[in-house]
Formats: sequence, structure tokens, C-alpha cells
Amino acid sequence: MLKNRKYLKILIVLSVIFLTFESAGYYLANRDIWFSHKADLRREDDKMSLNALRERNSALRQRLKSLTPDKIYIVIDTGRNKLYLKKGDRTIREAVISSGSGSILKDPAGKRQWIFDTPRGEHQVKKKFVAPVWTRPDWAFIEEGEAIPKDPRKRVEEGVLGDYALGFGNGYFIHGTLYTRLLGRNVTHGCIRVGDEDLKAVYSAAGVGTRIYIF
Amino acid sequence: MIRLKLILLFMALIAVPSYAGDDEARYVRENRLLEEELSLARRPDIYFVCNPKEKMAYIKARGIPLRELPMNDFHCWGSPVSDIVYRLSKKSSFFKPDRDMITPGESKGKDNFKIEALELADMPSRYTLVFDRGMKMGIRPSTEGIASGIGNIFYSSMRFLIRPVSMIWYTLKGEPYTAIDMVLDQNDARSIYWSLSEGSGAIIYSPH
Repeated sequence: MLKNRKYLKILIVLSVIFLTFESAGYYLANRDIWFSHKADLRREDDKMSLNALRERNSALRQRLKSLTPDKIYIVIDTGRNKLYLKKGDRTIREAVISSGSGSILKDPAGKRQWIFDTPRGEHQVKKKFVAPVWTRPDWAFIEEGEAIPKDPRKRVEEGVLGDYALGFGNGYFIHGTLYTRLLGRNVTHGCIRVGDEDLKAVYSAAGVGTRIYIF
Repeated sequence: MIRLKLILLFMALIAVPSYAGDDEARYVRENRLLEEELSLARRPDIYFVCNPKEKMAYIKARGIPLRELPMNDFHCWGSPVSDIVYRLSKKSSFFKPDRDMITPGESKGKDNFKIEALELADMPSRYTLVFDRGMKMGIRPSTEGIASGIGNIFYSSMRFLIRPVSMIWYTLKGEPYTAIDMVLDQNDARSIYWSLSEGSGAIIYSPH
């Protein structure tokens, strides 16, 4: 009985300490939140009238909205493997694609390493090709366990990139595919694979300089 | 009657300036964040905007909303959200998605359609985005089924126990501590993990 009382006392003391901490934490958190609606008017230009602030607000919103291109642009969602051809806020075409697998390849002979991600951020169409040929880079041979040829002609492969290709820098392209079954999956080495019909539409709509936003 | 009118007039005189003051503060804060966003939009990188008032989060680039993510729930805790660009320093999750290593020569004899890749479905939907300046954003999926329901109950109870203690700890250290909890659809939660990387900028509007 006496032992139980002792344990009970310890338990009560610990609970009181814990609850004190919790209450103090809640107080500190809420004290900050309660005063958070009072903005700190520390800059000169913040000391404007309400109307001036409203005008500045709509001007800033307008400036932000004006950044959306008037011309056609391409948005690529690498997570959902979708390509959107857009003009302003309007989506003109939606296509299922394949994008980078995110896999890693190490060169057994050296210190080189490749991560097969599709590069995120803003890019632009730099070159356009009809009936493109693929010049296989070193990683394509290493991945297959083949020797890297010294003759550049042995790197060239026809018919694997579809009817069109749009290059957006650093060896990355939007191109066609033989593996249409894999559209919608992350299987590429970083390029964007598109089905034939969609590729034709993208090729026709996008010119050199067209913006590409990849996320 | 005159007394009542005087009281009403007095109340109006008090209420209007205080309301206007709140509006002013809101515009000041919003304008600062819009300016910050304009500076972020000058660079070609992906950034994140979280607006709890609109119950919406956005993945953006160059000011263009690339993906809109509706918020199902939002809670803010601790020091007020600052009107600055936060930088993502870490994505913390219990299960981290792993990249596959390609063995040279292996793909030759393999079935071409067996996929070994990092995909959206491999991303966690319950994780914490750790930003600079003591900002932590806990993201979790909406309750769908028993497992996620139990997970959410556990997460919520732990949050109420741990947050106050963390608050004291950071106050004693003299560092800011802001914790945000956001509930999104599972795929939207995964999309944020997928799209943002260390160093990505984030703009967070105040919920008030």
C-alpha cells in the first residue's frame, strides 16, 4: 500500500511537470500566433495608405500574371507523366509521356556516374528535327555492357526516336518511341517520350524558343 | 435613444480604424510576399507557394502555376510565418525512396518491360519539409482506409505532445520555431515530395 502511494506520488509529480511544460509550450506558441496578424511596418514603402497598398497589391499581382507566356508553351509533369501544350491559362492538348527513371549508372572503368532524371525547371526548345537519328552516348554502351566505339559512325542509330524530336539542351529531347506500352511510366534516361500523334501536334505547335516547364 | 446612438457611433469609431489597420497589415504582408515571389520568378527554378487562406498550394515556375494542390486541412503553430522566401533544407520521412542502381550489361538479357524506376507512387505521402529559419512543414495524406486513419490519429496525438515541448526548446535556444501541418490528397502530397528538392524556394502566406 505504502509502495503504491510512493509510485502514485511520483506519477503525479511527473504529470504536473509534464503538464507545466505542455502549458508553457502552448502559451508560447499561441502568444506568437495572437500577435502575428500585426505586420511589422519596418520599411518606408510599407507606410502607405490603405488605397495605395491595395493599388500596389493589384499591380504586383498583375506583374506576376503577366509572366505567363502569351505564346504556346509546354508544361511537363514528370510525376504523373503528362505533357500539356498550353497557351495562357488554356490547355490545348494533353499527352501521356514517359520521363526519366531516376536510376543510377556507374561506369565500372572510371569515375563517371549518370543519374537518369529529367531536368526540372524552365527550358526552351533549342532545335527541331524531322526523322531524327540517335547518336548513342557513352552511357548507352556501358548500360548494355558493350565497348565504347572509337568510330563515331558506330554510335548512330536510326528509327528509335520517332518521326520528330525537339532538343531542349544538354542532350535532352522530346521525341517519339517504339515502346508505346511504356507511356505513362518513368522509364527513360531523361528525355521525354511522346506517342506519335501527340508528338506531331507538339512538333507543329512548338517553335525554336518555345518555353518548356518541367516539374 | 440619443444615448444608444452615441454608443453606436462610439463603437463604429473604434471598430473601423482597427479593421482598417488589420487590412493594412494584411496588404503590407501580401505585397512583401508578392515582391519576394517576383524575385523568385526571375530564376528558372521550381518553387512552392502555400496559401492557407485560399486553401491551396502551388508548384510554380516563373510565376506560372504548374500544379494546384487543394489543401484539406491546415494548422500553424509557433512563431508567425515570415514574409520571406524559405529555402528547403531537408525532406525528412520514415521511408526514403531509393534510386535503382543499373548493373551494366544486365538489361540485355532482361525482359524489356520490367520497370525498375523511381515513380510518384514510390514517394512518401507522410513526411516533413524542413526549411531554414526554423520552419517545419508536416505533410500527410487525407484519411483513406484504416491504416491511414490510424496513422493520422497517431500523428495528431504526437503533434499535441511534441509541439509544445519543441516550442519551449526553441524559445530557450532563442531560435524561431514555426510548424505547419498540411493535409492533402495522397497523390498531391507525393507530388510535393517529388517536385521539390533541397534548395527549392517556398513562399508561405499567413493563415490569419
